[in-house]
Amino acid sequence: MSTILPGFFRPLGFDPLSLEPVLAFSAQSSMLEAGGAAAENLDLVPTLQNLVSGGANASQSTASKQPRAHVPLGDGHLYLPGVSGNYASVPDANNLDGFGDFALEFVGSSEDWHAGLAMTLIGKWNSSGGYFVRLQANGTLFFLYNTSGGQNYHYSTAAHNLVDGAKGGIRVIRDGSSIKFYENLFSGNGWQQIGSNVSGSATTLVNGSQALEVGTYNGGNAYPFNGPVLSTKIWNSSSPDTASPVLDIDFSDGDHKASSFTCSTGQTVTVHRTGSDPATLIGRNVLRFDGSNDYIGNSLSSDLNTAHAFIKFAVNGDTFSSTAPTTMALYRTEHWLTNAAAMFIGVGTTSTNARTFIGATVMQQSGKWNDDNETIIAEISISDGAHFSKVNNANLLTDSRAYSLNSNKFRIGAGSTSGNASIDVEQIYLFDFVLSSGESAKMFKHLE
Amino acid sequence: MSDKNILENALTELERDQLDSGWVHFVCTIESFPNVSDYVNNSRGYPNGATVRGLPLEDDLIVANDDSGRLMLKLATWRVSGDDISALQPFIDDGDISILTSAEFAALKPEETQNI
Repeated sequence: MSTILPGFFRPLGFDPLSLEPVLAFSAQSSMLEAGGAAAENLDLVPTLQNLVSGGANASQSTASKQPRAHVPLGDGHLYLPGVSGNYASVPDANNLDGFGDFALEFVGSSEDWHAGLAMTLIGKWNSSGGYFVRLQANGTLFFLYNTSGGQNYHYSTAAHNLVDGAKGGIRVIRDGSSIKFYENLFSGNGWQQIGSNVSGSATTLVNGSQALEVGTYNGGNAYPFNGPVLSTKIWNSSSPDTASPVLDIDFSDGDHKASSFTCSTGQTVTVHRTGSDPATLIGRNVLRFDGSNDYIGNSLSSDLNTAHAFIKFAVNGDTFSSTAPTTMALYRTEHWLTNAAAMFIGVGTTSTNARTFIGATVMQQSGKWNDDNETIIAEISISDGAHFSKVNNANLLTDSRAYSLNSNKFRIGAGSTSGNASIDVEQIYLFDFVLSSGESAKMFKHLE
Repeated sequence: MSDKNILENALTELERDQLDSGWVHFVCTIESFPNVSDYVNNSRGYPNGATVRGLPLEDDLIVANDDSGRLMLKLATWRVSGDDISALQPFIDDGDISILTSAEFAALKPEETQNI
């Protein structure tokens, strides 16, 4: 017979703070903006609050070195950095072009809807033709499409009113020979027409073989969008409020950092990503370091000679601007050449190997410094000649050399003034003692 | 509109480089750097809470390898707005600030020392 316990008698979930770490950072609750409030999506993060009461926060007082918060909008979104090669796509299909009447819809947000360069919303276009819609630098919308009669392009007769940093939507509708542009500020007024109808062609669009792209066109190469994208829809009808879409991508349907997912209309959505600030499905809070300038750190309240750490993070990109990108370093002096110990480190700008190390090249976790590995949980224990490291609770490596850690400073996102890493950090726990195997297992399960 | 505009051939080499790399590369004379730093602080409202300044201190920046003494700074494109470039235009016109392509910036960068 089972017994149902009253709520407060039920066993509580494991709390890492019960093991008394010296550092405990979680992107879910530690990221603070300059005023001290919880950082919102795309805010700079000058302070990473230590969840240990009275413990040292990580801080960075120079804005150009501060990492940036990525926080899911609603249930999640696609972050696009405004850099070529970063976009989403679905394969060509007969119902995504060859239209008579149709409607295109893009909903997202941008810190700068009025960017200095144009930004693409939706495109199914290459040099052989197709269609795309983009925001022009002057705030008007530009829509181009190819029919059997040739190429057609039109500008909206007025600029959009989307608000920088706020959710906004754009629709382009072809109704007969009329091209209509709409915006939605999501402030209670629904879809409102931008300017007046533009006279276009009523001829059926050509049926091309190129993929449909979100946030760019021409194979990821044209005027990339900068900011979060929430959804993209296409109708082969001029009545989007009543017809069913032929494409309905809600980016919250994709898992955090997934490279693809299936949208509600059945198409496979692929996320194309490149560089140190790649396109990313954001389903959980992460703290993103840019790999060139960013790091955050502080001093510990006392020297650390024994350490056990768990770091949940993901590498971004395949090339690194520093020779030794570092997720987290413990060190004693302002330079890590003396009495330093990095907890997890990549090796070289071309290699995808990685290693934990204690003042030397040891415990190399081959192939783990790689964005293909997605989010990983790195564990390293350093104590009195009995060191070990694991990745995702596997790949146990040991080292028995005698080292004194002798550290009183920590830095996240870089080793010293170089060593900056392109990474998304989710959680960090640092202990000043070696966890038992049972405690270690609980920590891994908690982070997993 | 010509096909060139559609295909983006109308972009300058610098714009194309920034879209492809995701970075804006600056070099700046030591004399003008305080003005640039002041502009960033004033435009962003720094100091502000935990943020003391917008740009690194002069001593934290690397120096170009061409004996010009110019300071080098590489910022993600999302950190730099069109308004910033407009505000800095007088310095650009005077030659105190230059915005370079990735290749031009790399050619001026001192050799990195391996620190492990």
